[in-house]
Amino acid sequence: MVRTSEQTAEMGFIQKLNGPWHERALWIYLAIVVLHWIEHLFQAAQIWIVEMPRPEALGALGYVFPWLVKSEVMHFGYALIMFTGLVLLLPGFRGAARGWWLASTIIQGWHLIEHSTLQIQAIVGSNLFGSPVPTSFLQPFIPRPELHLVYNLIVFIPMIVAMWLHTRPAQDTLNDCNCAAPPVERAKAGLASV
Amino acid sequence: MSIALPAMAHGDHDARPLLRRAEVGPYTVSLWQVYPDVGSAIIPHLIVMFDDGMPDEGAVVSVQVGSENVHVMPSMTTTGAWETMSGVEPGDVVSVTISERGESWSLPTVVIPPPLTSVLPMRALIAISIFLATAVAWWAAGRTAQAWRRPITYRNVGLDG
Repeated sequence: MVRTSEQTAEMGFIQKLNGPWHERALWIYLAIVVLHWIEHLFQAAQIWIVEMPRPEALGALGYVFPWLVKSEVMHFGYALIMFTGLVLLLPGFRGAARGWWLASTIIQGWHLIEHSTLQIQAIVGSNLFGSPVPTSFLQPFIPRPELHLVYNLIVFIPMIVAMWLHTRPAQDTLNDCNCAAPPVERAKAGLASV
Repeated sequence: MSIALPAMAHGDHDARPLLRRAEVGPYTVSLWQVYPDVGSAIIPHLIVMFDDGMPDEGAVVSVQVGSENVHVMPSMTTTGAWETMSGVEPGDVVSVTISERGESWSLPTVVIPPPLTSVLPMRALIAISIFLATAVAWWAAGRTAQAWRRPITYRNVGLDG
């Protein structure tokens, strides 16, 4: 069913974001996530595969802006952006896709709590477990670089599963967005009546 | 022994305790090994943490690795701590002494344990992640192009599902 112009004018930002804008918003968001993930993997490969000394393993952006790697603010800021994106785009998901997206949101919520705690420690100058450095809750069990790489991975996987399910053609009747609509070339004739 | 940078107040260092909350004279002290978070190469140094805050002025911390005194000074980045500027190797025997007003107290001697090893198969994990990221980037590129070819259309947006 197509909305009238009066009805669409009444739609709020969240409704538009999870309706007509959902498809484009989702792919822009995924591009940001993938670029960040590639940066993490680039640095991880430098550390664990190339075995570069840690001060030299700055990732790709770190070569240009070395302070980025050492800044808690940058890590915290990205965790916040990622969590906000997951929350804002959640209402557009339906069925099983919603469950996977929600799982990713909950895991990222915990990741954000970890980064907020690190940020507070860096500001206050007092660290968890009496440690001389800012410490994540699970760091006593898994060293920090491994821990945060795993956090990013276990947020990424359910997010991708959710997007894959959400964009399956069978999902189109459930969705209020165009994410699962047929490709425009094949559906051009029927597009006006979507 | 290798030279290490001081621990940053924030950022990319990890730390592991070698001795926790030892009572020495009037102080409660922990000994930490701080190291850059590398996979295999490790250049750790030592931090003597006064768990109840900085010691009185005039207190002096000295650290011996084997039979050699190493340079140790109040940390510029960590409150309530003194730190060495040189690293230690596994098997090194570390003695810490705190002296104050003619008295001195020593921490139990600590033998540096082997470096931490990854608890996870990191290389395999990274290889899987690179494959996944590449596949997703390829899929996303095609779908993004498709999304931009499609005009924005308004459906019945209820958002109650």
